[in-house]
Amino acid sequence: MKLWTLALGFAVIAAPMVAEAHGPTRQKITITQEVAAPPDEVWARVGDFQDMSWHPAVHSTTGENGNEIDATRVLTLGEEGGPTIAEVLYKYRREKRSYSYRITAVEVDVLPVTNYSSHVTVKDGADGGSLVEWKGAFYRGYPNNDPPEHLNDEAAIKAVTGVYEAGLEALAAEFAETQ
Amino acid sequence: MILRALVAAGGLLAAPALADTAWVTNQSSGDVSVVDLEGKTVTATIPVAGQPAGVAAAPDGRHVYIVSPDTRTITEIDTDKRAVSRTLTLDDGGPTGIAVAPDGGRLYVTDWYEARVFVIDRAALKLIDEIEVGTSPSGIAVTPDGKRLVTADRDDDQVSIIDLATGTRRIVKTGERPFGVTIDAAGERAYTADVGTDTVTVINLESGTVIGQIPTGERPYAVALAQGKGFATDQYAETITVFDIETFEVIETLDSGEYPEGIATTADGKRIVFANWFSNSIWVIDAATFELIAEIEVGDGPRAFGQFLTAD
Repeated sequence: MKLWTLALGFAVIAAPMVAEAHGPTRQKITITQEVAAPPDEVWARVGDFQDMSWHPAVHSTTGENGNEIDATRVLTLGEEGGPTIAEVLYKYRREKRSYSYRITAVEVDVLPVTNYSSHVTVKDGADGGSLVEWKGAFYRGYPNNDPPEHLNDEAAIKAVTGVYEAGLEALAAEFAETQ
Repeated sequence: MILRALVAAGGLLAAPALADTAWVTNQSSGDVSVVDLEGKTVTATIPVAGQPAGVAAAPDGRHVYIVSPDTRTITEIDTDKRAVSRTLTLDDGGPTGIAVAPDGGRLYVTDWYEARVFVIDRAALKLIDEIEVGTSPSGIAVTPDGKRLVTADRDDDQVSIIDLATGTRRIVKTGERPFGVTIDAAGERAYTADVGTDTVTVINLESGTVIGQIPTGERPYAVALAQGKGFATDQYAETITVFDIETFEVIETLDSGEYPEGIATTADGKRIVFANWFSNSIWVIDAATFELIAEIEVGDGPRAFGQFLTAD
């Protein structure tokens, strides 16, 4: 459970990365999940940028400046001393129950993406429940043409999809228990 | 033809109302949406090779050229037939941005991977030359007189200004990681959208100096010019930063769809059109009043990186 990839059943790989270079085609995914709780309650759980404990792969969240624009956080995955992902908040709209952040530092063997940005929104769902939407935009881990299989577009999509589904399913399960 | 060439970069000529067409590269769905901007409808969807991003309309309006970096394909679309007429597959590299010479004779294509520009003869649709530029060239534009070629060399934080007669290259430093580059109708200035510093850098092409820098929203992608103003698409901020091209002051910040990217000015200079990559739409905005005139759904992942408008 050390890495996103391990936690979610993907192979561990290692490759050097140039931080700002990226491949030719940005990928996007949108995953939605119905949660059986009022939107304000779900927002109270996921809407704090400094607390990602709702995701089962996140061991701890440490950061600065709360939910202000440019607030930072470092996610430690799996266990104490586990791999980390550094992120910065760039949009926060409490009235829309939505925020946007991007990764500032991650190894591609933890998450095989570059130039990753993400958006979490809690919408009104059916029957007083919630619809949580998690969107991501990113390039694959390998910046040049002819990427190795573990760093290609499909690998990036699969990894991010796995992260989102695991988080949203856990969130739904958590509220299902408390209802 | 002359009119189109003159107004291609966003000039202010008095012109009759023109029917503009947008040729929108949809990178995720691998096709081109042909959008009638008057009727506000998609009139055709043209499948192309690979995952297209770059686009440039020829000044004569007969063809639009589409670039797919993954398959290294340059696709020529016949604008009357609204169909692919020819393709060229390059042997290597990652073709990204494209511009057509004002006389229509040559295509210039940046190679994201190999720090060069491919020079392609349009009539033969054949690679005839290469020009060395900086690292990861992306945006590209030619002055209306055809004398200068400008590339945004993203990972060198610079533009290259090529004298096409002599082949000499000058380098001007910009903000960090310039992506799109736009030249004004007079051919005097280039405007880069600097992804790394959230700025637009304004360059005097004759002197090769930076004459202004404007703060934008986060992750600007490209710039269009209209009505004495510049419009920068801010991908992460989901805004359009509007600035005065004389004072370089920010005038207004407009809302956009999600991840606004390629942006261009209509032939009459009155409207700007941009693609929203995540929202799968293009928006048309009045360049004077900033009113949202139209919101049109297109294919998946529209980038429209380049001069993607033609006028009938």
